[in-house]
Parts: sequence; structure tokens; C-alpha cells
Amino acid sequence: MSRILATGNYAAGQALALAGEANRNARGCCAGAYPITPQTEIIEYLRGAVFTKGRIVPVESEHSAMGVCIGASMSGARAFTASSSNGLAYMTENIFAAGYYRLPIVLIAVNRTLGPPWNIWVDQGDSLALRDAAWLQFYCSTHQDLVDTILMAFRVAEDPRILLPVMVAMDGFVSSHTQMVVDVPSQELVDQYLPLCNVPQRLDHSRPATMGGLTWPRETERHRRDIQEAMERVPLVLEEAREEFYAVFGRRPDGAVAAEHTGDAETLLIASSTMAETARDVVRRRRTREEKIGLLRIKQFRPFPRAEVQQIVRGAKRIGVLDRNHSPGSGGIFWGEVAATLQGSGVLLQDYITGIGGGDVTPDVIENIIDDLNGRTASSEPLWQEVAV
Amino acid sequence: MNGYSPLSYKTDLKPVWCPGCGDFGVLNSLYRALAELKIEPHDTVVVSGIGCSSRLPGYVEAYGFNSLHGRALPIATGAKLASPALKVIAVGGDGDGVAIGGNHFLHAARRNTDLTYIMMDNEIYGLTKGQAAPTTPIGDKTKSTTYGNPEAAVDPCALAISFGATWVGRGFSGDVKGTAELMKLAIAHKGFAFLDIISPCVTWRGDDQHKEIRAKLRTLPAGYDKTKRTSADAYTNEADVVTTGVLFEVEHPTLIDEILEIRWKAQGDKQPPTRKDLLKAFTPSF
Ligand SMILES: Cc1ncc(C[n+]2csc(CCOP(=O)(O)OP(=O)(O)O)c2C)c(N)n1
Ligand code: SF4
Ligand SMILES: [Mg+2]
Repeated sequence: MSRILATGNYAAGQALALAGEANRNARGCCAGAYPITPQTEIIEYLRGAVFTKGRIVPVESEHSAMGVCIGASMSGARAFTASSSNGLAYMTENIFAAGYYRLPIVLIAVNRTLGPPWNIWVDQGDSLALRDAAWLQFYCSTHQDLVDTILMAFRVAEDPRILLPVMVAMDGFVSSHTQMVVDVPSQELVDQYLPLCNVPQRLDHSRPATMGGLTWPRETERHRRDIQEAMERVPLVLEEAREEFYAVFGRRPDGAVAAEHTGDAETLLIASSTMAETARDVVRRRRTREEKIGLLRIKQFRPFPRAEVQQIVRGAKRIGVLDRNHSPGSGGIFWGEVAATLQGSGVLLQDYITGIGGGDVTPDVIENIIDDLNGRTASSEPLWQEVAV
Repeated sequence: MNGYSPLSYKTDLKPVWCPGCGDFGVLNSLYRALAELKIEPHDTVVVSGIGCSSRLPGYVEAYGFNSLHGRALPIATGAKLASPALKVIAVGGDGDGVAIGGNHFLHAARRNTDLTYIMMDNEIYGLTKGQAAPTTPIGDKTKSTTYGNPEAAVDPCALAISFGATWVGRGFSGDVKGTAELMKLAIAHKGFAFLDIISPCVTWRGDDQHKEIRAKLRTLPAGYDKTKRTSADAYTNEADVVTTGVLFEVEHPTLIDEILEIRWKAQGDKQPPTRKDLLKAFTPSF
């Protein structure tokens, strides 16, 4: 284990390289690599990394980057890549293909506002647009969370009970380009943690078969239900992955959600990614004033942790969801999921759309949101908290 | 706009390019070409993709569209077909046009869409800070080819010729006057005109790129036959020299000509069918 001061991108690059190298005694690792701000340093790091058995292929677009991952994973290699914003948008066709082929690929999504108009700063609209692509999704809030989640992502993705790709997201610039102290495990420990990658449906010359082809509705129905059933096994498999993580590395990363002061909270904030870290500070400060306030960080967006959310928010009187994303014609995307999860509970649930296009969501912004929430007797349509100056 | 001077095509937006970037030369050549051709800004649309070079439309007094990475040509095609009287100029980087947007280059060229396509070729992805493009020479170390580029470079002019472009030229951004002359010919050409402008990236290809290219510059020999693909091919994929000029030019019906021709063949002297005639075709007669 080494403690380093690193940017989110550098930390993610290291975690991917460690995971790739850990598969050297099986079919190695492979990635298609294509640059886009603010993710570029990840693929540059990978291009510079030396693998005993692995290839990082510079390609001509994101569509091809995911294509290379699909081909590599179908050949049994551990496959991964990274992208952002319009890169994810362009990659989309193959992102769906990877999910539907049940390939355990890991993709780092460095969240950046989709253009046009062009904007390089964070919001989550890019990866959340892919929520229906049969991928697991995790939104990380610190660099340690990121490294740990990337390593767990391979374990969960490649587990024979899951076999689905995983997207690990971080905030563009706020995480990708700022430095934090982070424990990066040694290769030996990662080797111990990650079993060799086995893709059971891989192309195998002893069992010649063709992938793809046309199906009938009944087969497609079964295929989609299989994916849903695999998603339903994620809580169990993730729990095991966390336990094993603790056994190998001596720390227990956050799972699907992380709760802070939620036990007796009457007012509850729900947030994700780095906004959750800012919200945590505000909640802690308010707690010193004896306010009954708590924070629920939703880290795992797919599968959506309904049971955990229901259980944690049970005692709350009012809930505010901070959404750094927006589904035009609906509202915040986390709010939509929470509303579906809490339907019929009668709790006051208010959506606050904030930080769109990378505006800085400061503690003051969150204080104002809490004041608004505390003063409410009923919820309204999603509220826009514009913060950019 | 009063009169036609290169300066009158300048906008209030200040280019964000690095000092010394070749794209300044390309922009100045375009100002000159537009002024000398007396093209009205309101008759002109400049469409780009994404990249340092793709910022250019904002700096030209004309309609501009800074579109998506690699997507300038389909958007330019739509603009031209919907409004054939417009002068439609697509611009962008080598990455934009040969990497992520490479397929559009093929189809716009083979259709002979009446567009001018200006590529600012710096042999690198400039905006994302120095990764290898398909134009980067083999062996070069870049941000994405840490130990050397394993891939052979492609020459965009060679691609354009093989894709079916009817006008293909090469210029150098350091020669503003010569490049402006090439732009004038490209814009005046009826059909798909492709102009590759070697436009150094001082930041990611080094300060010497300007000097090195200047030392390699050659012009086409006297009596050169630009209507033959084979003669044009000889001036592509050059290793030690860079030949500028009009490499290839032929006349061929444009996409719009072909569409009109097909319509004329189908319709002849007859009036186009009325709505009633069309509906009749779907009405059952018992
Ligand atoms: C779909 C998509 N993928 C990636 C990017 C990131 N990107 C922006 S510009 C660029 C390459 C630019 O190179 P080039 O087209 O040669 O233009 P230059 O900056 O060199 O002028 C890339 C990869 C993007 N904007 N959109
Ligand atoms: S990075 Fe290169 S291409 Fe981009 S503006 Fe600077 S010199 Fe020009
Ligand atoms: Mg370029």
C-alpha cells in the first residue's frame, strides 16, 4: 500500500492499471483509448503503463474505444476504458451492446456537462443518460472512494452471478483534476483481491459459436429479465465484495449508500458525488446546533438501492434531493428515482436542481436549500437553485 | 458591410489560439479569399466540428456553426441542400476530419456535394493537449504514444482523391497569400473541394514545425496535369518534401445536379403530380 497525493484521474488510472495487471496469468487486459476533457489523463496514464500481458489501443473515437473493449472482453480479457460528456454520448450504441452482451467491462465516466452549448465542467447528465443501458453505476465522492470502487467494480462485474458492465463516475475537474491523499494498494494485494477474469460466454475455439443474431420476442423478453435478475443479485454480491475488500485491504468502502446522522433526522438531504461531501460538512455543522438533520449519499444509482433508501429515510419528515442533473420535462433524475421509491409514504419530498453546467455548489447554497426545505409545508415542482456567477 | 476588405470579415471575438499557432495564418487567408471573391457574409456559412481549429467560424463575419466533434460535413451537407445558394465552407482539424469524422469525409466527397472543406492539419489533436492523430508520423512520441507511434500516418489529400473529391489542394498556413489563392479556387470550384492546409501546432508539435515544413515546401512542376489521379497521387504521402498547389481537379456533376437530373428523367416535360394525383394512387378502385 502506498499513500500518494494524486488527482482523481491519476488515481483512477492507477486503479485500472493494477486491475489490468492482476489478470496477467489469465487472458490479460485490454482497453480502447480516446481522449476527451476532463478524462484524458486516465487514458494517457494507461497508454504509458507497462503490462505483462495487456494492450491499450489508441483508437479514432469513443465508439471504437468501447468496440475494442467489447472485442477484448469477448476474448476473455479484462477490459476497461474512460470517457466523458459527448464522448459517452457517441459511445452510447456500443455501451448498450456491452450491457446486453453481459460483458464485465469497467468504464470510468468523468462527469461533464453535455454540449451544446459547449461546457467542460461537471454535471451528471452524461452518465445518467445511460442509466438504462444495463450497466451498474456508482458515483464516487472522494479519490479513495474512487480507487476502492474501481477495484470492487471488477469483482462485481466479473462475478458469475452478475456479468454486467460497471460505470464508475466521478465529478469532472472537482475530482478529476484536484489532488487528495489516497491509499493505492500494492499489486500483490490487488492480485489477492481480484480473481482471474473469466468471461464464460467468451469466444472459445473449443466451442465455436457466433455472437449476436436475430431473436424472437420471447428470447428478448427472457434476456432482459435475466439482466434484471442479475441486477437484483447486486446487493448480495457487492456486500461480499466489500467484506473481502476489508479482509484484504483493511478498510471497508461505502456500499450502495452512505448515511450520516440519519437515525433521528427529521430533515434529510439526499446527494451524490462531491456535492455529498459539501453537504456532509453542512449537516455536521448544523448538528452541532442540535438540529435534527441527516444526509444520505446515494452512491449506487444502478441498480437503484430502493430497499436501503426506504429503510434509511423512514423517520424523516422532509427530504430534499440535490440533483446536479436534469431530465427536461421531468426534473432531477435522482429525485425521480427517490419519488418512485417513496411513493405512498406521504413524506415531503422536494427536488433542488443545482450546479448544472458546473456551477459551484458551495456550503452557502446548501444552507439556503436546507432553510427552504425546513420552511416548507408542501413540496413543489422541482426547484432550480442557480448558483453560477 | 461596407466594401470588401479582409478586415471587414473579422469579428469582435479574439482568437484563443496560442501565440504562433498556424491557424492564425489560415484565418487571415480566409479573410483575404472572401474579400477578393467579394462574398457576402449573409451568403456564407462556415461550419466546423470541435478542436482548436474548429473555433474558426466564430472569428469570421458570416453565419457560423461550431458543431460536434467530427460532424461538420453532414451539417454542411444539410445546410447546402436546404439552401443551395449559400456558400458552405466546412473547416476543422485533422483529427476531426480523419479520425472521429472519417466516414463523413468519404461520403461528402463521393457524393460530390458542392462544399469547400478546409482541413487545418497539424498532425496532432491540439485541443485535448497533444495526442496522436491519424496524421501523426509513425514513431513520434506524443501524449498518447508514450514510447512512439506504432501507426503509419495517412495523407488527407490521398484520401480525398481516392474518395472521389473533384478538387484537391494543399497549402501551408505560413504562406498566407498562396493559401488565400488556393482557397479562392476551392471556393469557386463546383463540387466537393478539399484543401489540406499544413497548420503547425507550436504547443504540441514544437516550435520547429514551422521551420521544418517551410524547408520542405515545393511547388508543382510546370505543365503538371492536375486532371489525372495518377499524377496527383505522386504528390501525396511525400516523405521529405511538401508539395503545395492544386493537386487534382476534374469536372463532375454535383449531388444537387444528380438529384435534379434524376427528377428530370422521371418527370420529363410532365408537370409534377398534384396532391390529388398522389392520393389517387392510394385509393382502391373496385
Ligand atoms: C465525441 C467527442 N469525443 C472527443 C472529444 C474531445 N476532443 C475535442 S477536440 C479533439 C481532437 C482535436 O483534434 P483536431 O480535430 O485535429 O483539432 P485541433 O485541435 O488539432 O485543431 C478531441 C478528441 C469531443 N469533443 N467530442
Ligand atoms: S494547442 Fe496547437 S493547435 Fe491549439 S491553439 Fe495552440 S498551437 Fe494552435
Ligand atoms: Mg489537429
